[in-house]
Amino acid sequence: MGWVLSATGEPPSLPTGAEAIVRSGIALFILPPALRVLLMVAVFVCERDDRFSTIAALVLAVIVMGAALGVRMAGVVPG
Amino acid sequence: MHAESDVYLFVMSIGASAFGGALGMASGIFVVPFLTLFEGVSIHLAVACGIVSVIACFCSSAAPFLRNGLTNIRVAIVLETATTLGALTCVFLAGVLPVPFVQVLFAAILLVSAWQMLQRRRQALVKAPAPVKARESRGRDWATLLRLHATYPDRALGRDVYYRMRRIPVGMLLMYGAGLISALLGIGSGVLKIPALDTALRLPIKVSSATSNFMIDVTAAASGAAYFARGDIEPAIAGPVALGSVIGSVLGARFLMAVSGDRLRLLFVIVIVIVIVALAAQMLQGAFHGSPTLHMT
Repeated sequence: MGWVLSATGEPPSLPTGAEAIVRSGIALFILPPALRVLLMVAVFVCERDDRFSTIAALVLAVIVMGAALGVRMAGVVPG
Repeated sequence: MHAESDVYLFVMSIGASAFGGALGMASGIFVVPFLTLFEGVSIHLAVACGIVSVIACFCSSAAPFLRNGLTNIRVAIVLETATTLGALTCVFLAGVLPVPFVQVLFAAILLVSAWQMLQRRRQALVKAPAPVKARESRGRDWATLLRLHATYPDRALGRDVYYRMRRIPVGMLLMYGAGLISALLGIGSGVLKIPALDTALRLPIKVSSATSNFMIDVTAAASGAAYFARGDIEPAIAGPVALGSVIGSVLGARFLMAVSGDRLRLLFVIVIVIVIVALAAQMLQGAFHGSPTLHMT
């Protein structure tokens, strides 16, 4: 794995193929907690607990909204 | 130096997470200052990386807590609405807040953690206070409406202990702040969640730490997903750090049983003081434009 670490202290970057693999690996880390919330929604719906299925769905909605906002804000990252 | 660099990040994360895991916390609080101070990574990338390491630390440690029945899942999901909203707010705020402000806040959180560790050290010497007796319900409040009161199995007493929750709105507000700070600094902020659960909601201490751990990764996933989508997570840094964190936190949890807690806590306080001094030095060096040029390779 080759590193290209410039002398000015810019973040290092990986070769394109490797970067895609590592990127999807990191996505695999972020997904499970979100999936757990999805599971909680399912469990509360099965238990016919309306109040808590709404609350769990709200948490899931916030996570999804964060990702959607992130996509919109892509590229405007401050240094 | 190329191949060395990711091995270096990997080993550093194992060390940080093992230390964190032994103390029962995530490694973000060590990883973020390390990346900014010694690797010259900008604070925004370091924070995003810290969030990944927090999730990585907790994916290996939440399951045992669930199994022993200490986690109050209903309380966790109610409070998660507040923590994830806090994390979302931070996504808006990122870029608005100046870097020195973030650094000062980080130092402040470090101080609070050190102080809390010392407190716990003293508490361990005194003795745990007797649990408050269960009281009858007085009118309708949020906790009663949502049926949040519960019991937990106490091994020492050999029976289930009933506890009641109080002041849900105050707890929600504190959780919102904890979620905000977690996303802003790239830490788990269990250091803020546990006292909030203890003092505002009056959860028994075992329940509050298990419940807090259960919430941390969902909160981190909310900000992590946003940072990931925005492209703030640099694979070249976050990859080795995430792998190191998983291995380190597993090692740390094993270590937890072998080493005396008091010595570990003292070591933690020493490490925190060193990090605070380093942060202060970096700020004084005039790194006010946000990209510190410190390099140690």
